[in-house]
Amino acid sequence: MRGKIICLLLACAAALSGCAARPAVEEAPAPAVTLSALQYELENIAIDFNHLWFFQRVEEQTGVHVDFDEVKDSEWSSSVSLAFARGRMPDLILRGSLDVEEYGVRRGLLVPLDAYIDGGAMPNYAARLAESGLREQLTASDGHMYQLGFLISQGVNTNGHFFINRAWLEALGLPVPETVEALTETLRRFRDSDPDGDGQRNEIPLAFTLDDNNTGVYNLFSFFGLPLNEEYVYIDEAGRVRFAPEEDSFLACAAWLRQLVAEGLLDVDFISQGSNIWAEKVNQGHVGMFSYWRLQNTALTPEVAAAYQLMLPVRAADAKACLPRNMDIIEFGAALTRDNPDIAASLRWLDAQFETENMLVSQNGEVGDTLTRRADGRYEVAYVPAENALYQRVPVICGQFFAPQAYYDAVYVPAAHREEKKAYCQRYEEAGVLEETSFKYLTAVAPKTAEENARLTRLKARLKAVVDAEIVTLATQGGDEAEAEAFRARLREAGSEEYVAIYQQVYDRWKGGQP
Amino acid sequence: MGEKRGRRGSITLRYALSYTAVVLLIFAALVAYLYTLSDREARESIITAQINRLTRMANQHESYLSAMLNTAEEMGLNPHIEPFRYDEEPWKAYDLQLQMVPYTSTSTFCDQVYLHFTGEDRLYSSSASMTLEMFCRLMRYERLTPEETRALIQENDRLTILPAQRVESSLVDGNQLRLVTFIVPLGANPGTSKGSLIFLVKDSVYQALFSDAIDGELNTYILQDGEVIASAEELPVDRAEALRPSEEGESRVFRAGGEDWIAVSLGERSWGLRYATVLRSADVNRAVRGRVQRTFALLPLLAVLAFGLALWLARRQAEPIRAIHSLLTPEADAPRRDELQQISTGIQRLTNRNQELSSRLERAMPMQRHDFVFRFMKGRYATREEAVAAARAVGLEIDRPWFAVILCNGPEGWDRPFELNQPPFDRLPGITGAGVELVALKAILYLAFAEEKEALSALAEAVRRESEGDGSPCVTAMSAAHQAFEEAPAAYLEAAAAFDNRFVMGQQAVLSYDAVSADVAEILPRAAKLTTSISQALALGNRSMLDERIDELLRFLKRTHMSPFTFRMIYNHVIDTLIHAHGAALASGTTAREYFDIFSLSSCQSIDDLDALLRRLCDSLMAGESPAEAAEGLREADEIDQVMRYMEGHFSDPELSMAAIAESFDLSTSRLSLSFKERAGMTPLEYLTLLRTERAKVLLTETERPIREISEEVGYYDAGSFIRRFKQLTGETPLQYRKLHGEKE
Repeated sequence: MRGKIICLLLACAAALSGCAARPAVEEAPAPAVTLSALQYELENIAIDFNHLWFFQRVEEQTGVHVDFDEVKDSEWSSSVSLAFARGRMPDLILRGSLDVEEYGVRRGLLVPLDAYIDGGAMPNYAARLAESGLREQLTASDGHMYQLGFLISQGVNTNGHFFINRAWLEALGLPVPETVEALTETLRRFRDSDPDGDGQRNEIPLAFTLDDNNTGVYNLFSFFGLPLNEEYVYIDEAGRVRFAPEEDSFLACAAWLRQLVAEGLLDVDFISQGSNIWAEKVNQGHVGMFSYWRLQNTALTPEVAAAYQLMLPVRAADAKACLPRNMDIIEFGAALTRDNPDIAASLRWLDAQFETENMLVSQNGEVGDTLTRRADGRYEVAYVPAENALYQRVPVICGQFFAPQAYYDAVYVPAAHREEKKAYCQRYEEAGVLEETSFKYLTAVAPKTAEENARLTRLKARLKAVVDAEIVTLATQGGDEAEAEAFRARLREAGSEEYVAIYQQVYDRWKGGQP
Repeated sequence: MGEKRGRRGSITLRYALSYTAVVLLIFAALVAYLYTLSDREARESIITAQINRLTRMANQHESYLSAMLNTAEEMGLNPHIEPFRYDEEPWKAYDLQLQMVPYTSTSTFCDQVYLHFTGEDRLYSSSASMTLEMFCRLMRYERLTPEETRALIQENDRLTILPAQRVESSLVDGNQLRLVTFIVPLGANPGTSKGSLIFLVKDSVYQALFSDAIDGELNTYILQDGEVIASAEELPVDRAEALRPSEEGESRVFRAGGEDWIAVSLGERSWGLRYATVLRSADVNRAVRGRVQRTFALLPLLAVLAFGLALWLARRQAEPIRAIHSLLTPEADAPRRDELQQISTGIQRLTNRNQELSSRLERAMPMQRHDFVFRFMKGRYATREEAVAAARAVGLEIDRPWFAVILCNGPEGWDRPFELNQPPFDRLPGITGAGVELVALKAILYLAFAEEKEALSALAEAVRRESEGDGSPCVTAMSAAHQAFEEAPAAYLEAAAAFDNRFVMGQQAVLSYDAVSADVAEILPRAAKLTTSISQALALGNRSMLDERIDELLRFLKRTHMSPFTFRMIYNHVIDTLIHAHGAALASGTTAREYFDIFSLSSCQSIDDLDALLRRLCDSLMAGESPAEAAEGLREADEIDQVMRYMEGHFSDPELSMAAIAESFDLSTSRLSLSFKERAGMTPLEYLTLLRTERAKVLLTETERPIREISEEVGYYDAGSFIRRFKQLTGETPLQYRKLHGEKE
């Protein structure tokens, strides 16, 4: 009860200060306030934060002066630890990374910001956070928000998309396949029908690499309803963590891969070739189908890229295609420490940076120079100065930025290749071929302890060796029931059960802390 | 004054000129040395620096090569890395890649490593595999066709190094890079190698290797079999001319393009590698000039400093000489001569004077020692350290544990030796000290210090023997051995006491104070008690008691064996006690010295002499008491006399108390006690005890009645109290008294 009253009072106070801070950009600045900040800095780019034009502009707008203590990436973690250990905390911690569970939840050294945000102390940021639906990512296990997020939404919901040689389909008069059987038959036609018309049997119906969700065969498991990702775990409809390689669909797909290799439909080099060799092969123009991030502005030559078109993942019998779902992951933006003498001024200064033009300027440079404001009110990049010259004026990636997808689309015109990727993602979303709950909740959102992280890393390395070796074995040599049992035994021996249990525990803990 | 200034100037100038001359000589030698050697040294040092640089570079480069060869050898020996046919067993490519990871992930030298099995058409790295044809197509070497590249890889029987050249490839970062390619046979035996390793090394790694050159522009080359495999070229010199093998050693100078160049190279090293560098001769000359100039630039500064130092030293040297000169040569007497000669003369004069003083001092030393001995004997030195220092000043080292005083009256005409450190006493080990003559005693006093106590006795014996010489009788007396210096006066008195005992003890041995003083301690206390009784009788004016007590003392002395020394000590005590207690009563004109002259003691050598002297003294004292009494306080004296009579008549009454007596005579107890003390010299209680003791003595010597009865008879309730009081007063218990005095009676 007392907690609720305190929260209420805080909210009221924040609301009052928020009302004062709301027109910060337009109104005359409040009396000068000086704050200290521990500021993250890129390793290879020196930025003079204390004399950066952008922060002088923000100071003029808010009346808040910040003294920056810049820390390079390699020293960031130790500097943060040292600041808290010595008890001489800066007022603000900006960018980089911060263990809010440790310093916020467990040690109470950070200021909970949810009451202030909800109370109107940060109107720019609060509005965007509410629209994004990403609040849960920023909520710590005790239900409070100790950090402001950093997000540049790309609208990317999956890594690799499938592309099929449209020219070959057209040459052979084939439709885009929708099932595994149809695809297999199409690939056979690619192999046998000299679709490139050069008179040689040099066609590679399927070209992949091994172990990722970009060009790797991991994506092919989605045809069998298995969202096999590089962490091997996913969340089923009941909210349970599943280990993908232990699913029957894994073996079913592996058997299909064996068939493809045996028939020469899948380039067997996938087991050992890297993405360079893969791209070289695709660029030779003899590949029928592959998966990739997008077509434009990649390792593929524009001529080759032009011959391909997006295709939806096909589905095996009794299966629904399911690719791993990607999602926007919010990075650490800013936090206020308990030593902060003026929380209202601090939030006013931060929120000014989230004002749309300020925010886009901080990322792309001044309007009229490197940034242009179009007639429709959206901004677009005019040009990118060479040799990181932007960092002499604005903080770029080291500044505050919070742009969820919808908002970002409304205020910013992305580059063409980003538009291309976004379109593919929308298509896949509409087709319903992505997993329901992103595995990123397990791997990136739900906070883990250092011990859990270390253990998961070790277990994953073991499990990856077993899984990849099994894919290679099954695809090149095939396997029977006994082999399948032996594979599952090897997975258990490598710690698959503990791996899943840890993820389940992490996920449950995080879900339990959500409002 | 002007003359003085002139002298000063001449001394300083002389030194200044001397030092300056030395400095000039050193400078001349230094300049000549630098002029001769600096150019050559600087040139050689630049060449040496380049040789060292090349050697460091070669060592580093060859360590990289060794690491690559080791990797090839280890992979060749790895049983899991065996040739296979990819088209038949493609899955082995996956295993092979896993095997390659540890070999290729740690090198900082090479960028990528590919493995090729002999006879196979594929290449494998830890992250990729491809056909040889694709590799050759993807790796487009600037100076090799794909076919040539393929042929080089397939001919894998020896180490092959493809010189740095531009390579266009998507396999390496940047697409267009300069690479040095090493093709190394797989395994330890190149002839039977199962394949080869292809190491791709970025030229930037070599440039980093060359980047330690800090001496301006130069070219650096690494060659194998005469072909440059990597280089950093900043100078426009013809490479062929620069790398022409030299027969002149590690460096040579050559001319090309109208300029002189210096080439420095190391001889051929492992794997046919050679390392060379080329410098512009003009640059080297400039550097040499710079170094020489820097060296010479210091010379003027050093010269100024050295000259300043010379002046300072000259002034510093001249100053004390001037001071010495002024001390040795009084201004008025100083003729205009050379100052140093004057100093020499003055020093000679001082030396002569010093010798004279030394001689005088030597002669005065016995007197000083004499003075020291007297001062020591009188205890004039406050601390031991002070005494030791004073002794050292007169040539005596007295800081030894023991000392004693020896008195000796040698015969007439004896050549008295005063020095204990000289013959005839110098044979005694650990002894030091000195002797002085005591004219009054006609004796020599030796003050001796020793490491051992026994040595002092030995010395005394030696003194005695020496003094006897021709057999003439003489006396040698010695104090006890002492350690604390402040006991020196006591030691003297002890020696004197022992010396005085010569009349009794004879002259055959050393008279030791330890021996003569032994019986004094026993006899004197008893005699003192008896003397107190005489004094009390005198005080009471009781003639009969006085006679009785004098008799008792004489009886005691007669029946006691004692040395004359002890006798004299007792005599001394008795006379001294009586004169001090009753001296005021002596008749006018009579002095204490008449009865107590220490120097006349020798005339009182028997108990009978003492008897006469003692009675004469007591008579004088008794006679002196009456007039004093008559003068004043007669009435009070009568009262006290009456009290005394009363106590004499009633002392055997155990109930007799001061209060009762005072009441009887109408006196207060305090008044009684005070008046009685003034009259009788003792308190009434002491007098009562005296009466009871005297009566007891009579009963003890004249009857055989038990002690208990006697105690009751004389007024004691219990025998214990009687015995304690009796012993307190006489120094003997009643029984001892009866035994001693009764038997004699």
